[in-house]
Amino acid sequence: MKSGTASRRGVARRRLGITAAVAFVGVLWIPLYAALLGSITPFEEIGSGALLPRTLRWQNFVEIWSGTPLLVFFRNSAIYSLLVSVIVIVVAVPAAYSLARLRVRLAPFFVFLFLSTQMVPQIAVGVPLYNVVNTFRLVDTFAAVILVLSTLLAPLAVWQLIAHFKALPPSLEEAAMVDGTSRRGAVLHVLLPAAAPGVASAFIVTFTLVWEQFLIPILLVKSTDKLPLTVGVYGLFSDLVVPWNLVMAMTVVAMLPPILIYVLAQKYVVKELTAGAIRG
Amino acid sequence: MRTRIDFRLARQCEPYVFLAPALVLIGGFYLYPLLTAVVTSFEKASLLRGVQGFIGVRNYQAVLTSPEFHSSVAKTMLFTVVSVAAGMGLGIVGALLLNQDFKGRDYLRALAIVPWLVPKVMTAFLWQWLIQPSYGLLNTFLMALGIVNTPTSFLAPDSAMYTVIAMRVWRVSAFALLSTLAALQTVPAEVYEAAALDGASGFRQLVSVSMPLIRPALLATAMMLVIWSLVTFDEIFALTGGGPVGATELISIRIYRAAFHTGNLGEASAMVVLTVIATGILAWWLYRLMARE
Repeated sequence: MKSGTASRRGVARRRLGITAAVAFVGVLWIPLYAALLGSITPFEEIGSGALLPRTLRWQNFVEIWSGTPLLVFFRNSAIYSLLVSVIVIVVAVPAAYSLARLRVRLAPFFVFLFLSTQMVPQIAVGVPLYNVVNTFRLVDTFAAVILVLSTLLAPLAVWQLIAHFKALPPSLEEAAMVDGTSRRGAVLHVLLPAAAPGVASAFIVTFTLVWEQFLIPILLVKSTDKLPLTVGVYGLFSDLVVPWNLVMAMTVVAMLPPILIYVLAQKYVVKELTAGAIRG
Repeated sequence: MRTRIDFRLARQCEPYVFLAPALVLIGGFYLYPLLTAVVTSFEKASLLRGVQGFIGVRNYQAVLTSPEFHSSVAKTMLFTVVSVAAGMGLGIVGALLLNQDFKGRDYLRALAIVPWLVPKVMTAFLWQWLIQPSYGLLNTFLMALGIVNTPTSFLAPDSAMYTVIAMRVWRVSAFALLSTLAALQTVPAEVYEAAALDGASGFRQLVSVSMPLIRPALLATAMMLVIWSLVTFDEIFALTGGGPVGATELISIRIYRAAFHTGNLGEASAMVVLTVIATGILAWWLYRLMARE
């Protein structure tokens, strides 16, 4: 009898706990719901105050591509993200290998130098950067954004890769080197395949981080045909030339790639996300 | 003989050859700009007229005695303390709720992480829409509930800071949730079983068993959030631009405006140097704190 009451109370408490969990996530989703709702609302119904859409207007997602340079912005974001991620991996793999495996004098200094890039505000680099880029005659070029973002994001990849390389036994490359392979060959053909999941996750994290960059591109590129989505949509948005429902459709389109990538690569990336300092 | 020396030299250089590409980039686009900022901070320099000579510490004097600078430091502190405390609190509560065992939990967890994955500038757009006076969902809500009679502006001089903090809390609580959840999963089940055998209730288990075990992870999360919050730029710049009338002008935004709106590169650089020094000291202190834990 007594245990019956206790278990009934247990069931009630469990239900309460689950309800609270659902409510928590529900509240967290209010801004996202508002955006999704806005993105499929017809122009005439903006501000009707309806919490559920009366008419679904998927046409919004078609309309945003014509009449605005959204496609160009999207393409640019893809170019920046892809190229920066490739450069970051190419630069970070040897650096991380060196710091993880070889005897580097001043190694703690280099590690500190790399880590410091993640703590110094971007604006601190941004203010003097304009002149530096000007000196290299790179103002308003893809190259400027790509080089600067590679610089600022490579240390993060180095940091992640050091951990991945240290998790593998050194005997791996040593065995290959005993067989007469050069160190470079051993790293490329033996270590790298073994560390592939770590390299992939560093690539993915870098890619999504480039996708959201705003300050560096807003400082370094001016022409429409070079702006990434963040800066481009910000421009359309602050000019208020585009109605709200279309702005929300654009926002949904622009925020989807990083979310999709994380969902698809969750297996690798969530571990990285929780393991250390990633994303500001 | 020669080849052997060359070989040894090559072997000694190898680690640095591997580091070289990264160091070239860091030297050219990180250290060099920072050094330029140090030089410029001692010069009278403007965006339009260029450098007009060395003026000693005058930029620093101007910055340190400016009430606007003090106020933006205070705003940055307020923003950081409140958003990290509230974000951690909410994140921990959410993680505990999502740590319960129930069907569909994994989907709910995935949904809970999304605010953290939205690009920062897009976060500002979402919130702009949410709080929009005439169309926004929030005003619709508040008016339907009878809390307000007329649409409220959440970006007025006296309310913008709270809105900006709320937006930040929304974003970082998802991160705190994610890391707390990960930390909770490292607590072995036996620990709970032992506590339950000793007659500890669910709440007791939580307070005296889980929390101490995940304390280092929570501290690390809070530390990262503090450092990131101190340098927040994108989402605030996109939502308010630092306004209205400087109400949300955190240090990063103040530096941006000094450099690119006012065009005073000298003072902007002095602020850059001061900020880098302050973050450096703080990072070092937090690092020591972590090491001790």
